[in-house]
Amino acid sequence: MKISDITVMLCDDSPLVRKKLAEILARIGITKIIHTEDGEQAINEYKEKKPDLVFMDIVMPKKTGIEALREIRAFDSEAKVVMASTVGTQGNLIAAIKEGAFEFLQKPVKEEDVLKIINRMLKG
Amino acid sequence: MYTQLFGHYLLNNGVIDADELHAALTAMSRIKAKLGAAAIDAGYMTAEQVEEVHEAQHTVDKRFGDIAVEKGFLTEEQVRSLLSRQKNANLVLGQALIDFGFITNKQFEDSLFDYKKKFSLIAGDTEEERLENEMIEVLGINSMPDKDFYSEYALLFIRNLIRFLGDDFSLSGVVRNTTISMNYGCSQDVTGAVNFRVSLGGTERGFLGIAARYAGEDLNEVDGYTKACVGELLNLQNGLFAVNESNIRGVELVLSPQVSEDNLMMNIPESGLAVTLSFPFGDIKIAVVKQ
Repeated sequence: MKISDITVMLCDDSPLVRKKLAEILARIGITKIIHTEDGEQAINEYKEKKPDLVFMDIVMPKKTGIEALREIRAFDSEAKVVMASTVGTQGNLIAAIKEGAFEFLQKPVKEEDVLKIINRMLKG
Repeated sequence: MYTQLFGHYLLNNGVIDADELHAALTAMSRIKAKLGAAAIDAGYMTAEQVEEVHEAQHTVDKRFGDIAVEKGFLTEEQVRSLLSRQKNANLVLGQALIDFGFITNKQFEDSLFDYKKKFSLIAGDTEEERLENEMIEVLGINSMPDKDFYSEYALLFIRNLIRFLGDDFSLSGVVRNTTISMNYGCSQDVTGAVNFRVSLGGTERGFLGIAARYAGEDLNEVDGYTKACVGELLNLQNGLFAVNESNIRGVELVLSPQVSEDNLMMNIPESGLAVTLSFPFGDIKIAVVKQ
């Protein structure tokens, strides 16, 4: 897969976080971005558009990121969902691992960490 | 890359490999931290002193704590304090790695110090520590009933302010037992082992200043985007506080989504804390009320 072919869904209620992540992704050539603002919207958009990678916040309205992760993975067991949250507590980390998260990023997100994730994803 | 977990920090820094981490994580439920690892974590003993006590245990049938007290490395009170810290998740993981022989006490000491420093769990140096103690004094936290909670929260907030907004601020007011107002504010409820509400905001200039500096952008009007920026800083502060509570005390806190409010009014009881800080761009306020 070419890097420019990758579609990434950003799910965060903060437009600032989505903007910063989109900027990082654009710098490495990923411009196919789907923006979602809560867990419920993320589930619906995922089912419709099947993005290659998802960056998911945890603290969000309607449905939390962990709930959305669970539903997305139930729909697609191969889904690659990166939890990106300020709340990297032991409980959330364990829940993310248990629900099959691809990675966990502690906010504020660093560019180098995003690059590592994209590399890992490309390597399969 | 579960970097907030001490184990993944060790993994990412090449101290251990993935197989070693997996083995240690699997063993965690079966073990508890020993006093030596807890003493290193608390900063009471060096790795060399712990090794010295371990050596002594080969020749005398005494407990670690008794020998450490005899050698003057620990006081009886410190031993009691360490016994209550043995469930700390990072410590248990560290102990598992030491038991397996994957890391030495010295590697544990050095890595734990770097890890805590990186994630703002401790002050970076003695000057920073002195300034922090001064801040606690100035805020009058020492006389508060929940002084541990408020001092930990306030110090983390100050570190985050310096990290994300800059250090060009001064403390211009501390109030309790009154109602405060903010032209624009964001609030967040945190629940769990401790329950509290925090509001962050200020005058229009102050609010815009927080948003602009945090986002690293020129922002000239209060709108949904600027409110989201201030909300994200508040969420970051509370998230890191929750991470610290999880790592240090093993308790989980749940954060509610942030709520923006114009002309925010907040009642600050005697047991609460509201602080005004003056930046060149304007005044900002933070109010914390523990339930």
